[in-house]
Parts: sequence; structure tokens; C-alpha cells
Amino acid sequence: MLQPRTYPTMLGKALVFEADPFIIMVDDDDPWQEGLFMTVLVGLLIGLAQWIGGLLMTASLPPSDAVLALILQAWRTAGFSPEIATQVEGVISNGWRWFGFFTGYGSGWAGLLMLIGIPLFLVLQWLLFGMIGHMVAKGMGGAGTLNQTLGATALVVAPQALLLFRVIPFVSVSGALLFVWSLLVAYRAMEVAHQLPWRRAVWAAVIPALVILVLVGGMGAFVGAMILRGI
Amino acid sequence: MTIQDRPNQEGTQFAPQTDIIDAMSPYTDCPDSGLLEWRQWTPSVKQMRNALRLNLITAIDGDAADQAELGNCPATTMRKGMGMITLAGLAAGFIPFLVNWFVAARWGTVAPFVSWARDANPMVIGGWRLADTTGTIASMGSWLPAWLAAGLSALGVWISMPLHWLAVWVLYGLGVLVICHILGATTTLQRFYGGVSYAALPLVLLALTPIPWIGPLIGLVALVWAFVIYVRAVQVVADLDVGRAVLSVLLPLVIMTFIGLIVGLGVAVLTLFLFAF
Repeated sequence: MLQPRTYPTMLGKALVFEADPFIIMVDDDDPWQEGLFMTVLVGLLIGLAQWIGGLLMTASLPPSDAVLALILQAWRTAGFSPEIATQVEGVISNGWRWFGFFTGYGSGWAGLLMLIGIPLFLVLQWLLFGMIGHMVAKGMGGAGTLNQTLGATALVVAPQALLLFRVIPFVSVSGALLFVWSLLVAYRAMEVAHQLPWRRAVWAAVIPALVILVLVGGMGAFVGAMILRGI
Repeated sequence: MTIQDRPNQEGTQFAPQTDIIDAMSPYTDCPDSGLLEWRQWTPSVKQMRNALRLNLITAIDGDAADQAELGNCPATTMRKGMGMITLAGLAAGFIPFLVNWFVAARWGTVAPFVSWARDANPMVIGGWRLADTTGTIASMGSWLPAWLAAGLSALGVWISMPLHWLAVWVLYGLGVLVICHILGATTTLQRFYGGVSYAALPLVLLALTPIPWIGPLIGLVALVWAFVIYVRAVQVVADLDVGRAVLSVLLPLVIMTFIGLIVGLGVAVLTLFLFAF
């Protein structure tokens, strides 16, 4: 049964690796439904926080277009050859657009896309992690079902809740912190859901995390390539 | 009391396990008055005082009175460590927050622009002086009144401080924990992170580093003090001797510096290559 009122406590305890929330998720009558609801809810809240933070940042800074125009104008005074100057101008313009998209600076209503994008990203990450992690854990003699694995690994979203602080403009949360903390929570989830010894639980957490890291890295490289190519 | 003499923290060590959930959940039977209870989020003042006096055994495991009250429950939890780091970070950042707000409001812009304008001062790309552009952007004004924009941005920079400290705690701590295990330590994530969190306490003094002359000296003292507490905490939670504790604290630093140098060198070579062709 869905119990959103308990989510803050469960996420808080998962963040410090206490076993209770993992046991509760594993023993839930519908772990994957509970997990899906929790992940979507946290994603929506983060998206909302990011949108509000973006609006406040936009209101605190000069207009985004004017700043870009000024930077481009200043760049032209650098005295590089016209070819290099034009190429770099394209990179600056595209980089600025992506910067606005991710931080919400000057993106206005488009920032609301985060309300869809962040929950979607978190759900995809959770499903991918849960399924790969389940296969690895089973291969290592794990005892949990896929349903239980998905329930426990939904708590991996706990560190992402730190992104709620981005409702305040200019707050920065380290991506490395979120990744490593999520990895540690995932390790705990695998340990509980599959009753694995700690060394095997480490592998069951690290392998899916590496797969996700490669995929996200690939996406990052794709975005970087698009910026460089001026798309 | 030496490390070897201290009471056994039953259930907090990794060991061959038959019922892993019971074995790794030392807090399940401990009193839990809820996440909103203040005492759940910080160690007692007595424990913090003991940590600052380098008496880490008593700080982490509690004194005789604490142990009688808590039984097998840990006196220092990861939750308490996290709360203590957050509070210490906020305390260290409070004076800089006020200064940032004041300075940014006087410039009529947001706090990061002020520091960018200062940092960019000597930077020149071709004929482009970055400081001129940053200065012009800073003077362009915003929709919000300058004092409010400055305050919001200073608040953001302030809130980021404990988040950065938490990042160091988790990331660097993981590196130390891995080395500890390689060197033969037996400890849990919760006990380790709870124990080493006391190293954040002296770092509150970093708030005083902007004071001319004496500030940097105070900062150095804070860093050395934090390092010593970290090593002592590693000794206590991982049951390592001084030599291995120092090694496990320093080795991640050396490895990270080495990786940083390699990455920096790679970026420099790539940049040279791009500009050369």
C-alpha cells in the first residue's frame, strides 16, 4: 500500500544506511509500485525546486540574452582569426543555451520541462539499476525477487533529495557526491534485498552503477558534441 | 583506556553472518524518537568536547555513563555525524555569508559575480580582459532589488558550504575506508562515517581565515587539528595502529592528487593541440 507520509523518514534513514527502510520496502506488499511512486514523487519535487530556483536565479541576474550578447561582443575583441572566432562564438552560444536549460537561468516556462525530465530520468535510472543489479545479485546467489530488488533500490533516490536545496539559487550540489552516495545506498539495498555478504553486495551495486555511468557519460559526450557542432 | 581495552561494540563489526539483516542493523533495537528529534542529529556537547581534546574513544563510544544508558546502541551514529557536519558547515559559513551579502549588495550584483570579477582580474584572452566583461555584467542590474539578489546569492553560497563538506566526508571517507579494509580493518559504513565526522568540528575556525595575518594561521591550525582528529577516529573505528591509520588517511590524498595531475596534464595537452591546429 502506498504510504507517502513515511517517505521522508524512510529516505532520511536510507541516507545514513540504516536497514529499516530497506526491510520495509522488501516486505511491502507491492515493492515496485511503492518504489515507482516514491521515485516519481521525489523527481517531481526536485523538478519543482529546480524550476523555482531557476526563476529566482533569473530574477537575481541580468537578462540572459543581454549577458550572452555582451560575452560575444567581448570575445570579438580577443583578436583571433575570423574562422576561430566564428567557431568559438557558436560553441559559446550553444553552451549558454544548455547552461540555461540545466540551471533554469533565463529558460522561463521551458524550465517546467524539468518536471517531466527529472522524474523520467530517475525512473529510468532506477529500473535499469534494479534490473541489472538483480541479475548480478542472482548470479552471486542472492535470495531476493525482482519485485523486492526494485522496492529496495528505489531508496537509491535518497541522496538526490539533496537537490531540493536548489530551490535556493546558486546552491551547488556535487554530482560526484550524489553518485557515490547513491552507490553506497544501492550497496545497502542489495545487501538487504538479497541477503548477500558484503563483498558480493559491493559487486551487485558497482556493476549496474558502472553501466549507468557509461550510459550517462555517453549522453554527456553527445550533448558536448552537439554544443561543439553548434546544434 | 586504550583502543584494545574499550568495550566491544557488538553488532557493529563486519563478521561472518548467518542472518545478515540482524547483524548489520545495530540500530533496529535502539531508541529512535524520530527524525525531528534534535538529539538524533548531533552528538552531545560532551562528546564533541572529548573529540576536540583528541579523546576519540570516549567521543565515539561514549563514556561509562553513556554506555550504561545506551547498552549496545552506538553513542555516535552516522545520522549524528551528518547533522554535526551540516551544523559545523553552517557555522563556518555564517560570517562569510554576511560579508558576501554586504559586499555583493555594495557592488549591486550577486555574490558569485563579485568573486568571478576578482578571480578574473589578471586573466586575458588575446585582447579580451575578462575582468572588464565581468564588471560590465555585474553593473547591468537585475529584476530583483540589488540587496535582495545579493542576499539570495549569498544564501545559496552559504548553503552550499555544508553540502561541500558532506561531499568531502562521503567521497574522501570512502577512499579512506577502502584503504582501511585493504590494511586489515573491520568496520561498518555507519560506524566509520559516524566516527570520522568529528573531524569537521575544528574546521569551524575556517570562518576566521579572512582576518588579515592571523587568519591563515588559524586556518592552518584548524586543518592540522582536523587531520589529527581524523587519524585518531580512523584508529578507533577501524582498529588500526597509528602508522596504518596515517597511511589510510594520506593515501587517498596522494592518489587523488596523482589523478588530478594526470587529468590536468591531459586537458592542457588537448587544449594546446586544439589551438595549435
